Amino acid sequence: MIAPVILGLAIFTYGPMLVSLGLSFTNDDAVKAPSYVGLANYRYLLSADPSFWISVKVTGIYAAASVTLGLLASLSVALILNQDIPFRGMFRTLYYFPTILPATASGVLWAFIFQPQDGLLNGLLRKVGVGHPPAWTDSPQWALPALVIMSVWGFGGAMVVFLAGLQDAPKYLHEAASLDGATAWKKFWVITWPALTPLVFFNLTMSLIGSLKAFDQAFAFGTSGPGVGGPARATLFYVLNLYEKAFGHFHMGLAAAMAWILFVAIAALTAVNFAVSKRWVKGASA
Amino acid sequence: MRTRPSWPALLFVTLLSSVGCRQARQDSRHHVVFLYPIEDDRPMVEGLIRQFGALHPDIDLEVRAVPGNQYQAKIKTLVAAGEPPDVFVCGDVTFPYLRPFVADLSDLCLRDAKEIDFADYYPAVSRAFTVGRRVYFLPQSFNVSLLYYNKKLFRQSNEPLPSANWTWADYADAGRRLTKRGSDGRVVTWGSTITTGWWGEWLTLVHGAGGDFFNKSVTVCTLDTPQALTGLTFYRDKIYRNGFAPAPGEGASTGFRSNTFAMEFGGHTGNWKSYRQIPDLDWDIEALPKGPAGRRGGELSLSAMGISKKSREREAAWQFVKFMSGKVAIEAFARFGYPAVRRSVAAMPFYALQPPLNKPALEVAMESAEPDPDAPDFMEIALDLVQPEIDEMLSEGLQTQAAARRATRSADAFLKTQVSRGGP
Repeated sequence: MIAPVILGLAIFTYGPMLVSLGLSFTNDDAVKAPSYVGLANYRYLLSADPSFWISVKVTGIYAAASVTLGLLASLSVALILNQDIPFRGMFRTLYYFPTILPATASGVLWAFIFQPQDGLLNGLLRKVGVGHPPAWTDSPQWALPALVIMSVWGFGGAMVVFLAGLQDAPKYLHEAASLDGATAWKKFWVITWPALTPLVFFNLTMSLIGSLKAFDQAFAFGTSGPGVGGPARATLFYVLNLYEKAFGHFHMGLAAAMAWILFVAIAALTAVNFAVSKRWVKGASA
Repeated sequence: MRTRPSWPALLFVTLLSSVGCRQARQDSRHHVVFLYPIEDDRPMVEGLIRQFGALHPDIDLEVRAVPGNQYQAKIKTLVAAGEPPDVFVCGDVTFPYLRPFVADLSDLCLRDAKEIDFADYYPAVSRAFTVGRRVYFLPQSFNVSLLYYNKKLFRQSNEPLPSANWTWADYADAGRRLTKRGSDGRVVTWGSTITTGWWGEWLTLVHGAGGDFFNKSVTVCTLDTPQALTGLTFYRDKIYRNGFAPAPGEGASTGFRSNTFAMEFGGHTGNWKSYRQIPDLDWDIEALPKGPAGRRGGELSLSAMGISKKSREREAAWQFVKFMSGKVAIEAFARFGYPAVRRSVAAMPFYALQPPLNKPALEVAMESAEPDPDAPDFMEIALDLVQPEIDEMLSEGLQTQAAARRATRSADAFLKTQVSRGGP
């Protein structure tokens, strides 16, 4: 039964992975026959390529900001929507809705919202008296924050996971704490939070991996306005840089090397995440 | 008695019939694949393809349409996969990259010289499609850098219209005078646009000041030379010193179309179609002003068609390329709104009546235009390595020397590595 699965994995996943590893040691550029260049692609990326470290920095800032804000937003909204409030079902649907939109479609939509001259957001800001609102997509300072805001908009997936966890939390503990006179904060910190830590860990891991691989939002954002990578490379995400090298300029060897560096970095970060989780995730084996 | 089917025999018959069908198609009709970048000219191009089909019933032309902004990725992917289309669009900055895959058409040009009528092409266009005495593609239209101006805004300010004798100083003086502010101090009319996001304007100004992007062998970037710095400084000063062009993110997003810019420096001829559709936009063109080196510095690039080296239908593909650069096709392109590459079409009455009316300026611009660097990596270096520094110079006010030094350092580092595909 599992033979077809293994065969499929070998042909369509591990096979191409091995090929890309081999490519990363060549100067394949689709023009001339590729030749072996050893570690030259890795050396160029790490020491000479002016865009490599910039894309690492952009992706790092984006990951830190979007993961933190995304977790905060999803947890806060999940806590609110776990209360007995009117139209709870409708709000849950509305908050989850952006998650099912294709990232490219939402990228185009947000590019319109953030458009500096005629965009929706700056139109509103001008109406409330902001004389010189940020140039968002055209500004090296504001382009990345705009993408972070856009990413937080899609917190619905993590919110649903938190909601499921909150509904599983034993109610009798809350009732007992209330009888003992515990404050809302105390109940959250002592009862709710420990129960949620495995889910926080899950959402943290998944969103960290997702944000390090972010591509389509920045691609759609750039092609709708200032160009791929944004102004002054302000939104040049790592994978966008990789895509440009591969399919913009056909440096396949370089792009393959970038892909392997990312693979190792994500694996290392995830390993660190797992190691650290033993200290704060309830139920994680020490 | 039941007879069981003989599977090997069935397979053999199927294979034989498919080969036979293929052979039959090959014998009767020539199959040519044309990779077409979808633009708003699609109905016009399809009309020409129908005309070609009527003239050549023996040629089966398969049009594979690709969105214009994905065309380069598509063509490069097909080339990399070893399956290039027979005919594709080239002739601009992408040609140095594609050159190893483009067929030399010189022998066919020589054979059909009379039919093609090479003397009918503008001399500047002929020079652009003749690469080292070889011909690799034939043109449909061209793009050349021009100075666009809004006649209404010039009239309102009692400003004399731009002339072919203008220098950068004349342009800047007029730009400052044409910049008008409202009662709240905000600019309501800008003297000029500033082209951001690509090399269209800054490289023109570098040329105009006597500088260049690379040395001749494309081994060293020369954007930090005094001449290049003069050009880049003029570019930056349009925003920060002279104040007649908006910083990125300011000014109307529709640019010159908005009727709030008196001039557009280095605008594309591709803009003609959209400008003509705006009833209250009263516009015309002039050749770019001359820089301190006496050069206008604009670029000329062709929209042309070439044939793949790998094509097995070279002759049939050539018939199509020749048709699409013939007088009938060029007239269709010109009527649609593109500048005419053939003088006989430019001499037709309809052409003179279509805006822009100052067509002589087009010829001056063509004759003074300069080719883009003949380097496969030109676009990569210009857009990925230099442009970010230019962006920072315009958006953040980074000093010209610092931006040029950083850009040159990045480009040189790239040119020294095995990643670079080298010069011409």
